[in-house]
Amino acid sequence: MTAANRVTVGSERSCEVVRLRGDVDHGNAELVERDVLTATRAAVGVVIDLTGVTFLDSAGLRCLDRLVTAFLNRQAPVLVVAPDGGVVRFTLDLIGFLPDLVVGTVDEALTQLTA
Amino acid sequence: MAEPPPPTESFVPLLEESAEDLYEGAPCGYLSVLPDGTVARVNQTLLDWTGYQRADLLGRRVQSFYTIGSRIFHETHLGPLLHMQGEVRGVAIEFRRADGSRLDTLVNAVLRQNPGTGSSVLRMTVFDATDRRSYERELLDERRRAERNAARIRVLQDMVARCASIDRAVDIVAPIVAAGTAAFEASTTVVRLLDPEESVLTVAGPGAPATASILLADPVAEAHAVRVGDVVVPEPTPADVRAVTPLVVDDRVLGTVSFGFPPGRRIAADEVELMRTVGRQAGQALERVRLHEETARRAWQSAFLARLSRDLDEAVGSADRARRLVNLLVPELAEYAQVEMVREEQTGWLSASVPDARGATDSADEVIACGLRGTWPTREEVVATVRAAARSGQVATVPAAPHGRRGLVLPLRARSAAIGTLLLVGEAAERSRVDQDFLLDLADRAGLALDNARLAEQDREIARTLQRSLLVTERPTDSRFHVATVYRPAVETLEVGGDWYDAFTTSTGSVGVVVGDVVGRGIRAASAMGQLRSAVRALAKAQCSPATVLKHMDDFVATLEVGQMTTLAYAELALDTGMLRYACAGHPPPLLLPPDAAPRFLWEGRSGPLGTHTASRARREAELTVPRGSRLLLYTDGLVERRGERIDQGLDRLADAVEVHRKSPLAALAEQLSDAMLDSEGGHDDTCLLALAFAGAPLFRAAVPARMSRLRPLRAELHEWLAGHQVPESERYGIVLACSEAVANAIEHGYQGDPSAVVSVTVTIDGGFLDLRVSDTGRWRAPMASADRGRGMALMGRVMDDLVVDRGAGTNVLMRRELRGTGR
Repeated sequence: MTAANRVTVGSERSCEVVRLRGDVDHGNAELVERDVLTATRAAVGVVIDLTGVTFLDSAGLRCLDRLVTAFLNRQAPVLVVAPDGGVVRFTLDLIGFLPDLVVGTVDEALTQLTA
Repeated sequence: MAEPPPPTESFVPLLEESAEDLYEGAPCGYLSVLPDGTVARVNQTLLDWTGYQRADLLGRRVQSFYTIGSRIFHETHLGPLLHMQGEVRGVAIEFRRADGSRLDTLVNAVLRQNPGTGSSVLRMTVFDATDRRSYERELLDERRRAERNAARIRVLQDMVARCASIDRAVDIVAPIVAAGTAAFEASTTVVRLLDPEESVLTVAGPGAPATASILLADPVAEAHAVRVGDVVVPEPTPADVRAVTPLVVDDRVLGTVSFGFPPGRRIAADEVELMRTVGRQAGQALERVRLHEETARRAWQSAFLARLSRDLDEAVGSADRARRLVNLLVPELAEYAQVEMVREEQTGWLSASVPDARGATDSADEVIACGLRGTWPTREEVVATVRAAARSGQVATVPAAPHGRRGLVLPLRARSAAIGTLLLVGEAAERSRVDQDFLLDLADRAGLALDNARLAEQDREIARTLQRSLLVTERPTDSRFHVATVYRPAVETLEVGGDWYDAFTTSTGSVGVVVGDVVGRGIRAASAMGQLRSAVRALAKAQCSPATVLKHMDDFVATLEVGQMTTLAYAELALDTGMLRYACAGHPPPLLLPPDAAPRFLWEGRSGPLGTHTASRARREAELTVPRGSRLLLYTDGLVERRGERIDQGLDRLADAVEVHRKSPLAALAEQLSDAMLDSEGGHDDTCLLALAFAGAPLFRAAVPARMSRLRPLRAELHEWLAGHQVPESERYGIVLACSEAVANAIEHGYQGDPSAVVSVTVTIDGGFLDLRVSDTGRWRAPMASADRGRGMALMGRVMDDLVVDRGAGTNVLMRRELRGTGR
């Protein structure tokens, strides 16, 4: 699996939804970051959907960190979707990552961003 | 008959024709004095003696011709006596002659009453006593002189007695000064001692520094007295009346005593003689006390050096010895001491003393900076001087300590090379006993002691490295067994022992374990241990039975002459059948811990230590089948031997401890047993323990190429293994995450992305604990601080209960987690 096919970008309710899949780890986090940043445009808001991510390590966390910072610098509000009880949520909770930006579903994220 | 002629008066023609002539020309003086003292008559004799005219005396009071003393005597004694007794005899009266000179006389006086008129007259006969009086005066003077000399001799005797009781040369000053005052009424008495090497006289005793030293060439009385070796009395001046006597013994001059006197004082010949005696007596006393001092100093010095050598020998390491050295030297020889050692062209501080803040800082420069209750104004100069002395091996002085204290840098030498320096600063408490020769001697001894310690340390370090390299080797890995080991060096000695352990698989699908103990310590024992260990391994791999292994070991020991009397226990476990064969050569019995039974010692298969003739003829072995889940302990006697305890008591303690900890994971069991057995005293011998678990802990093992892309397959593999061992999914993810982070760290920081390197991962589950170990052999470099790396460690720390990062030749990350969800 290449980095490209684990990143899909779509538009919903005028927001950009970035979907990541598979493992995001030391082996590919930098590629993922680059792909996401090149594939997204300025939008009302960005949702980073990690529902399909099966593993996230500290490199993945750094990748997320930089993505969020980059979008905020573009004046685009960002939310991260990680389902409760999932493995990604486990990692995020362990490190206490961006608790205000993490929501459970894409719907919830879009509702917040377009409210 | 004729009548004899009547006696006729033979008439002597007399000079004195009349009583009047007799009176006037009598051989004594006559005076008639009226009651009011008026002279009524006087004869010519008295007039001749006194040189007065008759008219000068008559009508005047007799007292006016007396000296003042006699006038008073007349009024107070003569008058009242006459009044009471009517006469006095032999009274000494001094008349004043007409020319003013004195006439000593003896006077008889009689008071005569005239019964008719009732008036009275005093008749005085006056005898010339000039000769007698002067004789008396001479006697008196002589007596006074005798008394004074007797007093002086007493003073001298007193001085000699005081000098005889002193122990220090400077104490001689006080008796001499006392004698100068008492015997000669000297206003000042100054004692100077001669330094023969410098030809200088220096003032001794209190107040010494105020007066300048005198060179022997100086044109002063003191220098002169030293040159002539006799009393010198310089021509007195109004300001300076002085006498100088040399302190002499056997024609050698040791110093001078200068007596100063008030202006006008004359110095008598007998006083000069006495001063000479003072000089001789004091000189002898000084010589005696100097010899005494010298003897006492030598005795003290050799005692000090003996104590120094003894104390230094007690300490083992060179740093310990240096610390002892400075503690011995302060305050007896200095206020501050510092030892520096040269090592491989580098000078490094080893130990220093600071009375106030001993051990407060860990750099000598800082110690110098803060020590001795003041700052060292030229600290750099001190440091530079010390460094220079270390290079040159020469004694140097340091002028830079606080409050003008002097410092001395002594070279520490050993085997004709300078190995460091000893800096001494400030006054010694035992100042009079310390001289430079002594300090050089001391520095030589200390240098040798420190160098010996350094060489011993080198030997120990080599032996330790050797032993470590032999002990820490790759252990065999097989899911059917598990090995844990503990090595604890003895507490009391720094020398390595010859204990060893080893574990290896043999080609027959067996695992061999061995624990041995070579007699002796140090580098010989360590190297013997290495040879024996290799030999056992080679023999075991050649599929020898335990008894055969021992037989061949006997040959090996006999041929190579190493390791005689070595004891060892060797056991071989067939991993398919559980058949355990073992043999003990003079070694404590292995302890078997079956899964469902009490621990028991394996007492079969015993024979004597290696290299003993009787033992080698009858090597025995034993065998038994052990159930899966069994554990076997091999150990050296250090584990079970305790002072004052029989060996069987030690074995009982071990069995009890095993029973207590039987549920522990294997590695923990080995540590816990060592702790339990050695707790009370620390080991007095090296201790080696090897634990073998048969079909025990499930083991996951992976050798991961150092590429980030290999993380994912590793995670999948580990995940599956964990699942296979009933680790619940909720825990699996975290464990896999921690493992992945640790391996990523090893790849990134240990190998810097070197793709040919390998990270090794082992995971065991034992007794409800999961142990995860990630090892690399790379040179770990401190990464730049990053939030990323911090997060990785934080993730590992939060997922696992324990996290240990052990950096040696490579990096080992050890993690442990208690499994909450399984029944294991």
